[in-house]
Amino acid sequence: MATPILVVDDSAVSRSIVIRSLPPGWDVAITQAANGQEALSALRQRPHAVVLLDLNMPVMDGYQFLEAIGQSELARPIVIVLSGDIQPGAQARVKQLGAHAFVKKPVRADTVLAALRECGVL
Amino acid sequence: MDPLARALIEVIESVCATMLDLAITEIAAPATPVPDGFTGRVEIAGGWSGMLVLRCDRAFAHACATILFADDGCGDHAASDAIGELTSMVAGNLKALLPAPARLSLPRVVATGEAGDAPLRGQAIAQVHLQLPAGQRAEIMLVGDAVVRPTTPFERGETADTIDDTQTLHEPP
Repeated sequence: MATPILVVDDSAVSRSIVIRSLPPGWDVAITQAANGQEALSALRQRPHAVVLLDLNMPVMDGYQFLEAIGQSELARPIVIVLSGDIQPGAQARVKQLGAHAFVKKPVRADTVLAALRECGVL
Repeated sequence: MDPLARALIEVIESVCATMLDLAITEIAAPATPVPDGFTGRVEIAGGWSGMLVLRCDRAFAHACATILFADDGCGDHAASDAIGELTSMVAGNLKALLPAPARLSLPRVVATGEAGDAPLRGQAIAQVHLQLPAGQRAEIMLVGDAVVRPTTPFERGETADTIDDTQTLHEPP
């Protein structure tokens, strides 16, 4: 059965890069969302095993999404944050909010694979 | 070379190599301005106030979009999205080099000459001219407060509990 993956980023370019960086041959069903609010709607419609999450987005950013999911009754997916903000403060805060791993943007296939393995997804 | 300009070059070289698999080269300041294309801006607030500006010609933006979308037929919308993401990634990677806290806005991209393509306020404290292998041109600059003072949170009397550099600057509605 395909693993349901939710890719959350306001940039279509960035979503495209993230999707292309997923391990080849991995059987996935991908849903895309342009902000945290859309991502929450997608999770309400059906559970996703993994969320690949940008931080800097309009409407609802990545931090707000993590806070919202932490306060909700939704099934908790594995959340991997993808961000160009590599400061320790950002990484510490997302971990505190429940993210499982942090990948620096621009993402590369090897760093995404490492994060998926770190989280026990692969 | 000015350390900020050096940092700008290193960051954009790294982002372009990873994101586009393209070697971007620094060039001497050309006699003519960058031809019409797109301007991406990310505002920075906190320990230093200003903005990161990436200005490029149309061919540069389309080259980026063609690679990113793996599609030769990319239009201006895709080109604009590509420049927004490139500007955002460079700003995110530069953030660690700026005085904390540094809060970033969402990227805003306008086509040259369009409404919103306002003249830049403030002076460019670091500026680098760039070129892709096929000659497409761009320039990237930090515009804002004249001096970047690398103060530490400790010098400002902040503590680990009070420092929050993770907020996002949101555009007013």
